[in-house]
Amino acid sequence: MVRGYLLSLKIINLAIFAWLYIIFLTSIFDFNTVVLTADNEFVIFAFLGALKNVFSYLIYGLFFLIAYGLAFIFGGGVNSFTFDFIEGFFQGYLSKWFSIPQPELENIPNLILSEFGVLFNDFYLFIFQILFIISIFYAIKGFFKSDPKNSFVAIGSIVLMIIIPLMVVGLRDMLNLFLGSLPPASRPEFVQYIYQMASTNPLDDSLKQIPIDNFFQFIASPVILFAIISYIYLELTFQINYADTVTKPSLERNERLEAQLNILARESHFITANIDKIKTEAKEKMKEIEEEQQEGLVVGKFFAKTGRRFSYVKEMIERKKLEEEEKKLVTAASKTRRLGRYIDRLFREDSEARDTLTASSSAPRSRNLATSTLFNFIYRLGLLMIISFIIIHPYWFLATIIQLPEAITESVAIFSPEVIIILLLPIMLIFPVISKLISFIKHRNLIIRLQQEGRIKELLISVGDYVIKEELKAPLEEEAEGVVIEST
Amino acid sequence: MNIEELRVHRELEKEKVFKDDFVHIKVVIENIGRNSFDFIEIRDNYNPQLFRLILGENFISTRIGPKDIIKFSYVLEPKVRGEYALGPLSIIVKDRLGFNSVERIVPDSVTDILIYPPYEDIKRIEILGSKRSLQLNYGVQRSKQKGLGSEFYGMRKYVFGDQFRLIDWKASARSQTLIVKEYESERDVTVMIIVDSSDTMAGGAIENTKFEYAIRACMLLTKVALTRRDNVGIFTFSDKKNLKFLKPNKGEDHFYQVLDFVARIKPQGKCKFNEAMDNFTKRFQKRSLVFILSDLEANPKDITQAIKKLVPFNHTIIVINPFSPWFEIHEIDLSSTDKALAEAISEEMLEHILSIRQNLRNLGINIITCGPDDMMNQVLSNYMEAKKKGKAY
Repeated sequence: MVRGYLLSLKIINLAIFAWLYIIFLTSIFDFNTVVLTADNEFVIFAFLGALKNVFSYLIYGLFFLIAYGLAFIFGGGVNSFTFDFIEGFFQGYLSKWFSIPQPELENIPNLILSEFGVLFNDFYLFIFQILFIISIFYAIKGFFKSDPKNSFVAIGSIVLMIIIPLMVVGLRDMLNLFLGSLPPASRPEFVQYIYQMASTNPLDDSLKQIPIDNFFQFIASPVILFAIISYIYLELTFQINYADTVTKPSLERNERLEAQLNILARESHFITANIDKIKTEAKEKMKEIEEEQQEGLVVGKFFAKTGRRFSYVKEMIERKKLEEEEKKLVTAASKTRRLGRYIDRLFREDSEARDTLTASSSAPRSRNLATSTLFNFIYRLGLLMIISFIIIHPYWFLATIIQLPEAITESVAIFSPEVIIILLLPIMLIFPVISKLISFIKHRNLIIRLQQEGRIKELLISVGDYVIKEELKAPLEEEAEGVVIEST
Repeated sequence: MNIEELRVHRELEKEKVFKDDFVHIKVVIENIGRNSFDFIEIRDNYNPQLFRLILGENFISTRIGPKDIIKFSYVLEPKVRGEYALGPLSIIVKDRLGFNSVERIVPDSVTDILIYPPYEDIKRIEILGSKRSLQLNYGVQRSKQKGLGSEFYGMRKYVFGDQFRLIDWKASARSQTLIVKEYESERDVTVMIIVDSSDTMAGGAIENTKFEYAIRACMLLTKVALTRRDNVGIFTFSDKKNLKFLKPNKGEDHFYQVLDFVARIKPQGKCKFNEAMDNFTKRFQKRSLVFILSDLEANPKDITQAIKKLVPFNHTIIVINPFSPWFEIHEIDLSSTDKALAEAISEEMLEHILSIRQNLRNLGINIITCGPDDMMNQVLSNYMEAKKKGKAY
């Protein structure tokens, strides 16, 4: 039942993830822009092509340099024939091998730099594809394993797909402030790369337009909807993780114990049925041992045979070895039978013993879990939406709840980032303050309890380890004191 | 998360249990509050050196709803005789996401459990008893005298002066001579078992110490002696603080008193033979069959002097000496150094015992040195021997 509940939760969560992706790809992110380059080539191929080109130019240039160097050393100085031959060989043959245009040696650095620009841009676009694959992979992994980390990575990858273009565009806008007046060709190389990257913006313009005047429009806007669904996805992941964590031990215990009880019942019956055989075998073995004993290992004879004293311990150990094996078999058989009988009697006398042993009755019920999950889920989601709305649009909150005068609520300053931050601060501080408060109360309660219950130490002593430590400590301290006294 | 709203307690199937028997322990958790606890971990602590977990688990991780009760249980097997504590119970309460947790030990959640010595030996005797092997031995005892008792002793020819009512007419008719029946009169023997409970007796593996064997031997002897309607008393000693005495008595109930008595004894303190025997002679003077179970790890002179103090009371004294090295070598795979060490200790100990034996032989007291394998047999056979010879009555 609980397993069914967990599976249904996981399916729902996967569906939510699909919904999240649909919103992301239809309203926020244009995936086509990161799949194809401006030349209608697949980004992955363009990226690999650029990578190949960079290395080709590097190798070509290196060979060129080596050839010139060798010609210079062995040709005994500048020899136009040799240089003509090398240029002809490299440009006519090797350049074809590398599938690059026929470059002169002095052009190679520029060619590498320009290919770097292409590579950089393609890599930028390629990142989105990698992130896309990661998010899908971890979402699927999250379905099979209830570790919230997987869902975090999946959501994190999607969020990165929004953040990276925003950062690049933001960087470009910032650079514009300083270098906007310069003609594009005279800007530094890396700046040109950033401009090139920022020219491909996969994000939708709706990202910047959030309707903040109407609560329902606010919720329905793609970005907020995306945020809320992301939250729902994570919330559900945590609920799944919780349900799994809280039910797994009980379920596993139940299965383990049921298996143990079945094995015990089977073995016990088997031993009961074959007890005579086991006993006979054991008797035979014991006879053999006894025969060995009679050869002079009787304890009483030890004192008589003073000459054999030294070997007695050795012999005794050897004999014990033999006995141990036999004893183990007989003891295991008798213990299993005894335990089987005990458990039978226990189950007969105590009707709930089976349930308590397997803890089947203590496993959380799926109905209770579902109710609590739903309640917690709705409560937190509602709170999240309200807080989000208040933070982004504080007007209603300030005018209705705090009832600030219109001069303030209607002022332009109220929408400035500073005011929003001032409003945000108390909300941000709510959680740390609450956690501090809880820790303070817990600490205070603990002290009160420890004062009330002076028996805590006694209780710990009875556990064992504590006693040993205490007992060990006391003689050590005594010894230490003794040493001090002696030394003084 | 108000942890105080959780009520946890332990229910024990029985509070007195034989070693190697099983005990079912149930832990009941009740949430008396109106809120559920999303994640609780309850652990019932026990000392693994003293108990072995046989079935189930001694902890649980689950959630508990408001006004809900959950139970879990497990089965333990006591490994060592004695009086030990089970618990305490500890609770950990966590929130749903595991960010916040509270842990505490449940107050008054320690339960004492009394572990009797193993019932194995007693059971064996009972089985033997059921086959009447014990009763068969009655005929050869001299502890019972001919006289006016109720138990049939035998038949013999009539001699002048015999009471007529004792004549068995049927047997007389068959044999054509007068035959009289003889009855035996019951005479109690008091068996006093003196057990050394000093710390040296606790050497070796915790489950198989000399003391444990001594207690097992003591139980066995008690059971046999009580079956034969003898009085049995116990005296355990080490130093001044650890002198315990159980008055001799007879009957089935007394066996359980002995069980209870020996279960609570712990091997502790130095072996003060002299003080112990002084105390014993003050408490008990009646002539009896005295078994002393001790490893005799004390000054030989002291031991001899102490045992000498028992002689004036005409006790029949039998000293059963569990030979320390044989009990303390519990590891089978000893290294060659350990083996050499064991042999050296063995040799030294032997010299010690021989010197005590020499001293006591002059008093007519024999020391029976035994190992773990033959200790029970030695105790039992010496008791039987003493009974046959009609000692100590």
